[in-house]
Amino acid sequence: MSFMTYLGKRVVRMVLSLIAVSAITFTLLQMAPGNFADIQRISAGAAQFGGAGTEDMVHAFASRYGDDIPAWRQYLIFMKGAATWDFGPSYKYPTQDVQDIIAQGFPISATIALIAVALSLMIAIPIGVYAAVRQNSAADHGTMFLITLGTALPNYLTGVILVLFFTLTLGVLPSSGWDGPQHMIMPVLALVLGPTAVLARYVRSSMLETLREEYVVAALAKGGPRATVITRHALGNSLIPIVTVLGPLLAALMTGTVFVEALFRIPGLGLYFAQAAASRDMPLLMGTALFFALILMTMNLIVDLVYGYLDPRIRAAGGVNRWRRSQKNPQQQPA
Amino acid sequence: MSTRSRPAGRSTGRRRSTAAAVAVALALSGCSLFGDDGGNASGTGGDAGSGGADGSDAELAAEQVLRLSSSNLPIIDPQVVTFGMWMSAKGIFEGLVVQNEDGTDVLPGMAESWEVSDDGLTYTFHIREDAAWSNGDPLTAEDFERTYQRLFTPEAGETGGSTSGANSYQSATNIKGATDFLEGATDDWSEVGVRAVDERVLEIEVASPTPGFLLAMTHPSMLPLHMDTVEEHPQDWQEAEHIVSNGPFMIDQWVTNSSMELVPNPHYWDTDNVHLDRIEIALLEGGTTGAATVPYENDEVDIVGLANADIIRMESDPELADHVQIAPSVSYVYLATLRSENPLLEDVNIRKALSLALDREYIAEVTPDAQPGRSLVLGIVPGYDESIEVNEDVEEAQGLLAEAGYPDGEGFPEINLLAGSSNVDVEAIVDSWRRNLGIDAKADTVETGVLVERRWAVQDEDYVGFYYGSFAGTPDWPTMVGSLWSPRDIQEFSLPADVWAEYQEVQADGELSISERNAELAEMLDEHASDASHELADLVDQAMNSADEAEQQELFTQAAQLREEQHLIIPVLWKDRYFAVRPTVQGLNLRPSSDAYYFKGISIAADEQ
Repeated sequence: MSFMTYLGKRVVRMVLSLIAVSAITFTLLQMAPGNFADIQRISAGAAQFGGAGTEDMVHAFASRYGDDIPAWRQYLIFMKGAATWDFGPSYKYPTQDVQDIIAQGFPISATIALIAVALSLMIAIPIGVYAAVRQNSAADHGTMFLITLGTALPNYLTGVILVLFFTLTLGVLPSSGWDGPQHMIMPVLALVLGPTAVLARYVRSSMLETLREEYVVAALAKGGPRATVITRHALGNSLIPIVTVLGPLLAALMTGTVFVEALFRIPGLGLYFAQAAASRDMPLLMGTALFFALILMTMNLIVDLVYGYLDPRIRAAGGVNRWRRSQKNPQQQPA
Repeated sequence: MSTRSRPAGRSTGRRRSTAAAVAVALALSGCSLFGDDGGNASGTGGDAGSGGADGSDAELAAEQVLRLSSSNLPIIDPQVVTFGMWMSAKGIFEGLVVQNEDGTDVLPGMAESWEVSDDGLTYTFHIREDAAWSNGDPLTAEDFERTYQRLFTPEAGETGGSTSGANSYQSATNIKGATDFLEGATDDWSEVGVRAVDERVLEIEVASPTPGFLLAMTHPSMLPLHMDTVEEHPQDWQEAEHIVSNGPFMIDQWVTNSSMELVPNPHYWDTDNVHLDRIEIALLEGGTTGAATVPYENDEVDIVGLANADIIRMESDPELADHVQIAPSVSYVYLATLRSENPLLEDVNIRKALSLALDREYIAEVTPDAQPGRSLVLGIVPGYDESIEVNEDVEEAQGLLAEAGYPDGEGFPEINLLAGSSNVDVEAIVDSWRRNLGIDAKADTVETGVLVERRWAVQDEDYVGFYYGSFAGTPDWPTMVGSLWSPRDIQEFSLPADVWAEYQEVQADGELSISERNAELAEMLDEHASDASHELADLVDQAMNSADEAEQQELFTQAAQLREEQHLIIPVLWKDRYFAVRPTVQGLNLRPSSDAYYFKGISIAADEQ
């Protein structure tokens, strides 16, 4: 199978998946109790409820879609716009089109995600390697215990602890906001812990596997210095499986981290997404959900391509290697 | 009080208590992070308030910057019900009149003077000569007329929203023909009593003499909009790059979900009283407002709204206790009867028993920002009369239950309290019923979307009870009796469950035109609503049309009493608003209004006094 055919097939599959995602999201939203106008009123808390006014308001919010048109037609109208990257105005943020919200929010979420993941890698690789070469020692168990704690600690709790320490105790960092580098420190730190834990475990197990490979054993048997063997021969190959985890991990962080963004007042995409669901903001929810799906699938595609590049055996097998795929286990980012 | 010593000069003890409180607040609020504190936003918003020390002669700081935190606001359109409309009213826009210091009367705003005709039906406002928009355009009477036309136009949803959010204020302003126009009964704008006579004279006719008309004109929905901009940028007019406003301040920057910056409007007519060079507003997401006090204690904001545990903590902190300021109540907590296939609560005596059995003192005690509320009219309303209050009486309540066939609460179905967030007062209400009546009661906390759907639905046979909510409104009689739980609301609540189901079907019937639908609904109310609710409607109608102030007051009082005796909506608490205000903040005054205070007049002293 040529590369282009492979790529083409993958793209077609992505488009079909996006359509499925949109249909499922729309259906779930239709089934969810409540509607935007009612929720908006009760949330704003100012006054009035019910009565004919609410009905008018519901109609008005659906105005892009025309009054009283059936849900399936709303879906088609939305999808028609979506095909040309026009999701229309959000209900909750009526001054902005959904694609503009994505254009503003995504770079912010993506920046934090990239920094956090890069930092995670820098911490996780040495830790993983260290634990692997001292397998079953106290140091190995100790680091892995700490790493497990890291997985268990949700990022919003880490965030609060950081605020208590850096803002209230030391008074060196602003509690929240989005103005400059000083505002990035705590959100990034809050996000680093989880991915670090995940990645370190992967590095460790992958390294252990590689250390048992014959070429490594041979290199050591020949009397090569242990450190050189590990860094030059073992490390590169042990990192290949990490690439598979990295894709979904990055996608999960890039699409926004609701709690961290809310806690630190970061105008990223995650908060919009959560609010869209809570307030039943159809265009915003559909738009962000589709965008997230797109990012996730693109990341997976990139991972597969990079993988083929890193490991010639996969390329030889035509890129879609069942055995390798079965090894992939996209990690769910801890909330 | 120490000067300029925060945050380094804090005691460890306080730091520890802060840490604990923050952790608790966040843990508690985590679950409602994107739930928008369902139904209770008016009381707990992280909205800022104020009221500084009186030393107005204090030396001013070199940098006149006020830093606030506010509940997040997606839009600031003053005609749509969001937190944004209150931000608008604080000083981004300015109406014909503004509220006086204690919020009981009005002062000149864009109108330098006004007259009322002898019959009390026509108000003539004279717009000040130097009234101008932030882009330098003169502000005219026509601007007001065009803005109000937008307000009263049904489904004027071009901005993506709808203006009908404001229609509930019509009974307060009582502008002639406005309701008919809004409901589609007429589309002839000339029938509405708003007329720009010339550039500087605006005439507003009311349907009947309306006490509190001028105060009602201070509501955000009555603020003027630069309609040329609104029409030119129907979607984007509120954004910093387009917005044209007329208040003392204007939007300079706005990062959605994060922050907003205001700067003085150079074309404002009264710049002598505008002291601040900049206002920085941190926009906080609803559920995280528990963390709002962290920026305050870290000296990042000057004014912060307080809720629940933060109030107790600040008031008991020797240093911070002085920072706490209270705005009198503008909102109340109520329980509204849920319709059910089970007719239990269609019996007024059972509803009465449940209201009389509430221990409001106890419920208020566990709710730091509340006092017992025994009426749906707030106690600060001028001419408030205790005769309309519910008299708690556990014995009488037990007697009523016994009469209805439930001695000692035996055999009485479980009472549900449907709520959108798990507040401590909800639990206290439930507890109160259990203890005083020996009945089963349960707090049923649901997601906001579920709440808005279920509170108007007809419940199943085995589900009876009330839903929990809170309301804020101008503390005057027309609002408190005519609008917030209006006679029409009471009529709707008095409908038997099956009629109510039918009524809702008509409401949702898209085939009918607005006027057809309203006619059909009115007919159903005429036929099926309770006699008392019709009597209530008559009383309010008479009150609104009365030219004699004493008589009017008497009629409103009677109406309120009659409404409260129906026990369809049960008052529970009156809520105050608590703020922490840094002592350097000068010239603020808190009013009993949802906007809490105006930016104008505020200055920052060089040092804490």
